Amino acid sequence: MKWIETRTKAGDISFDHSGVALTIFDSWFPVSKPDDRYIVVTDNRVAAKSVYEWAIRVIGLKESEVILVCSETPEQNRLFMPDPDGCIGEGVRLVILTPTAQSGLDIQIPFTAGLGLFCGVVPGTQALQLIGRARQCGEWFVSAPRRAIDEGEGAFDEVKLQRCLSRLPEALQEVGAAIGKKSDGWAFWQREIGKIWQQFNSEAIHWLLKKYYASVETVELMARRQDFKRQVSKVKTREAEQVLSGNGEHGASLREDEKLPYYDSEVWDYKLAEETEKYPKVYAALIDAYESGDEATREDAIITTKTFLNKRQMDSLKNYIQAEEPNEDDDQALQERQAGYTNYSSSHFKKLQYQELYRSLGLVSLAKLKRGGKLNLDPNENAFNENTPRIQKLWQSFQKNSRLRNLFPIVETIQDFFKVVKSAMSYLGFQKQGGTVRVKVDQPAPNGTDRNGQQRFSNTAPKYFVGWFIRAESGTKFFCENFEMIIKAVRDR
Amino acid sequence: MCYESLSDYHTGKVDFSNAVVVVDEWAGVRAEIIGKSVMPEFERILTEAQTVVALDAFWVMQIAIFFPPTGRAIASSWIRHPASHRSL
Repeated sequence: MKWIETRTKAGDISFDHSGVALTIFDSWFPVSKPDDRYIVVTDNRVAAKSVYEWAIRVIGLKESEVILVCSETPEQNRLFMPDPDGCIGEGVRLVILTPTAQSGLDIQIPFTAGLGLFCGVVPGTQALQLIGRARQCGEWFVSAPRRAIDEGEGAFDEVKLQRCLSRLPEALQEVGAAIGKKSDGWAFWQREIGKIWQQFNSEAIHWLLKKYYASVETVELMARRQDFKRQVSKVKTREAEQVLSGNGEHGASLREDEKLPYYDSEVWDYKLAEETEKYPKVYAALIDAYESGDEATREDAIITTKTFLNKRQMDSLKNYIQAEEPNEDDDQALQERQAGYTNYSSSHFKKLQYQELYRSLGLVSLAKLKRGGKLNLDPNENAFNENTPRIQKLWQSFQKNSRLRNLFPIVETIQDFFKVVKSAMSYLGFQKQGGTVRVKVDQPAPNGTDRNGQQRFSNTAPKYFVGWFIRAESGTKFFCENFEMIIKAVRDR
Repeated sequence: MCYESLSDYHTGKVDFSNAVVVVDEWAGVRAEIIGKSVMPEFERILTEAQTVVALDAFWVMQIAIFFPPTGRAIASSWIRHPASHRSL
């Protein structure tokens, strides 16, 4: 078992492992023998497709030599899942699996080597399940890059859990949800534990690997980041084209009959129908442009579709619009959903929590950063932490607001409060920028040693701050450049 | 797992009081179902079923503290080494 690390240009450990697959392929395929067989498992569908394209286009494998199992290959999956060994047989040299291949899948045929690419989508135990699909595999390489951790992670222990559980009924009552359900405590525990799993996904996978595999050694690899990112971009462009070329009516009838795609082509019909339901006017215009426009118009339509297909980006934009531009219909609809079935993990409960926090405390005023020119984090202006006066004032407002206090049983200290502020800003799509700034401190702080080896002190110390870009400049380059068009399209969808 | 198959439309008339309910991949179900709209039905199943068996390759914390068993066993598998799993 080989644990992959990569380095940045400056030589530090990097959190970006894009392209390690390409490096691994370079070490596998040129020297492989005809009956060598390799497996790649990943929790990222786009990475799976990118690796597939690379294997065909660059490594030169034939389509018959590669098997890709993901949500977009139902025809393949129907043959593969019941009899993977039969499908792999003699000629297949590369198998790529995503979580579509569930834990019951049993591949006995031996592999020369395997690669696991985990970007934190699935919890660590499921990552190990994916690795375990291949019962006999010579050597495994695992990529599970760490996430940057904000300072000040508060403790979440049994004592805190009990306190929060005792405040949970108030939280649910605030939104008009039924209380006293047996699952209430479970939902709270699951949501909070889930955050920890996500934050420490890499460490968890590493720990699990060390527990269940004989040896886990660290290897450092070069990451072919540019090549991989270009490949990913090609995959996303093709996805956009496939969606725009789909048969929306057929997709809509599948959805109405609650059927899943049976043929590969139906995958795109289905996706188009899903998207059209969310943004009918937008997609009507995009399809029109794609079908009857000239070269340039088609290109534009494809790039715009790519943006709208970025679920995280679009969902957070919708959340921002609903929070920033209160609308009676939306608010009432959200309130009504709470009375249906709500627990602490429900998506509509979370939405209401963050909306209320954002509106009551005017969090939009924290977003001050702009692009263009050198980025200057200034603790007096646009950068914050728990000790910033602005945040302390907001904390006081929070404490005086009983509805907010009830909505957030997890918040007990200013550290908890700042974490929740950061979560709310992220939920609404504000892009965060962190950095260290030297600031004046009350106590003289150690600052290295002088030439005689004596400890030196100074009046300043480096502290970590975060700032947020204004909404119109939070996102990909295309998103920022076309913000007005996109937000208008979402407003009158 | 297709959680929609648990909806009231499908399970509304089913009596679980004599049923043994087996949940495979318990960790995944426990994490995912809590945010779904079929939770009321799932809660009913867990509360009424005669026996609930939760299976997972890894030892994961059960929700027994929220659903205390009363005359029912909530059983789960111990950790198996995933690499030693052979075809069943």
